[in-house]
Amino acid sequence: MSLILAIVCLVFLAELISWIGKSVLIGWFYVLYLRVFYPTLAEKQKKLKTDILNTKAELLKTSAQDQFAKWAKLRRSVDKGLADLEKLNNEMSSVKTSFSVKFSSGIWICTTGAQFVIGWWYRKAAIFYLPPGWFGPLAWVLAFPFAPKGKQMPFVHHLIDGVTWSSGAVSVGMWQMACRRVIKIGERAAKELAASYATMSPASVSEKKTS
Amino acid sequence: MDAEFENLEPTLQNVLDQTSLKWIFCGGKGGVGKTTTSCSLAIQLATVRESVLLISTDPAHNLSDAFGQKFSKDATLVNGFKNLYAMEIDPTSAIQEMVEQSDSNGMMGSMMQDLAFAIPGVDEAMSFAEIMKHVKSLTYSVIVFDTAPTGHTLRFLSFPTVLEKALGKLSTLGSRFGPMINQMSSMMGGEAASQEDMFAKLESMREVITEVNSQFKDPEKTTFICICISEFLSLYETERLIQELTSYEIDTHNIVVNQLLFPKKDSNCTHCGVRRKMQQKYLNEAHELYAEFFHIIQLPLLTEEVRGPEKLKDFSKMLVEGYVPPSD
Repeated sequence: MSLILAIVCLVFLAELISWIGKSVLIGWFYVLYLRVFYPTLAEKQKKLKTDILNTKAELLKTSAQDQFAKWAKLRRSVDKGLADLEKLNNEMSSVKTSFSVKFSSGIWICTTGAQFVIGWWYRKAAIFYLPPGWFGPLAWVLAFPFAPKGKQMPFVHHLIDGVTWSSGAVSVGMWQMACRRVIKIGERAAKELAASYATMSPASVSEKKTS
Repeated sequence: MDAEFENLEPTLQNVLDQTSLKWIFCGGKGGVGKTTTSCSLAIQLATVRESVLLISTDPAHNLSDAFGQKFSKDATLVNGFKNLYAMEIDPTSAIQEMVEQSDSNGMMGSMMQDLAFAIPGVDEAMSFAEIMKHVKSLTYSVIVFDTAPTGHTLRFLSFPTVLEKALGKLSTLGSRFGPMINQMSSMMGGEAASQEDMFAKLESMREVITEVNSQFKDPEKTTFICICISEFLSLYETERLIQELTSYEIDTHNIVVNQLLFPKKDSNCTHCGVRRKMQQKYLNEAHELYAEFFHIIQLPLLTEEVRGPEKLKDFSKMLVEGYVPPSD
């Protein structure tokens, strides 16, 4: 029973991640990652940016002709700040690249990889049994690839009209597929419902107003 | 006047005292008196150093005008001096010559020519390398460059870095594809030896440039003297020049402020008064900005043109003694 739920959860997780989008997730977790592992870097960048903006504003206010010394000094500090910022940005982008590689491989292992592994590990197990005869001669599809078919049937009701049909076992792969389908359909239905609610509610509000 | 700012002596004595100096560049905007200053500096150096070479790389050659003597691209003794030589080099003609020379090499020569013009700046850089090779073979204790106006100077000085990279790439390419090119050229009837010749040439050029580059970055051997006049644009250019020199790691610690007006107290020339006021304003700004790290040398605007060795000699004294405005 736990296997069946675990697979449902796993498929749901995979679908959720693909629905949110990997890049969005990377964005969220990158912020967290920076906070945890490079707490100074983001702060430094922010501070540098505000510093540069402030100095630039001051530079614009200073007349180059009347206060050349001050103007030149401000300009030097702006130039230096920009150079520093560039260096910092480069550093941060390299951190981000390495993080996104790690993170996406982690996601892959947790979703697609885990599904593969479970599917392979329990390839010979049946998740549950449908009553025999529901799908007639096509029952082997449900057992695809290695779930028990006709021979090691735990049930005896499989004999109908003297023909040995499959046991009605559902394999892990098929179960994953079915879950995915259902979740997808559910998602679509929820979206349509939400959309229709969104289009309907302003109309109903305006109707109320006019009446 | 503004003695409270003056941290460093307002003379070029420090350049004369630093006997390890080999290359001295004089640069600034056009028309600020670079040639006059570099000639004067060369004259002063000639009194303390064994032999001095003054080179003008400005295509509009002014050395001949300043000394009233015709100079060519070979070092010529300046009239009235025993150890001061001058030469005028046109950077663009040097490359022309080199290309013509390499033309005789057949296919590889033309290929080299294509190469030289395919990479931006490489032609000028190569001509610079030629100059350097030429100059290095001469034995002068100090060489003063009278450079072309600012933008040009900076490009010139950034060449060694640019070229070193480009040539480094080329020579690795050469060792990798050399045999192939060799085969191809022999198939097409070219001489096989010329290709090796070409890479050897490039390699030797690279060596010269690398050495020159390291010398330029050595503050013991090279210094840059910024020349400006006390006006906004000139100061602005000077600031840019100094920033760029810093980025190329070239030492600079002298600024010559030229053409300063010192009208007599009883003069009733309105122009002079207004101009002097403006000059003093920018001079003060310059002092505020640079006095900590730079020698700021003030030179007056004379009532006559500084032409000929004698006048230059007189003028040059002000570089070391500092100009004392007529007290009244």
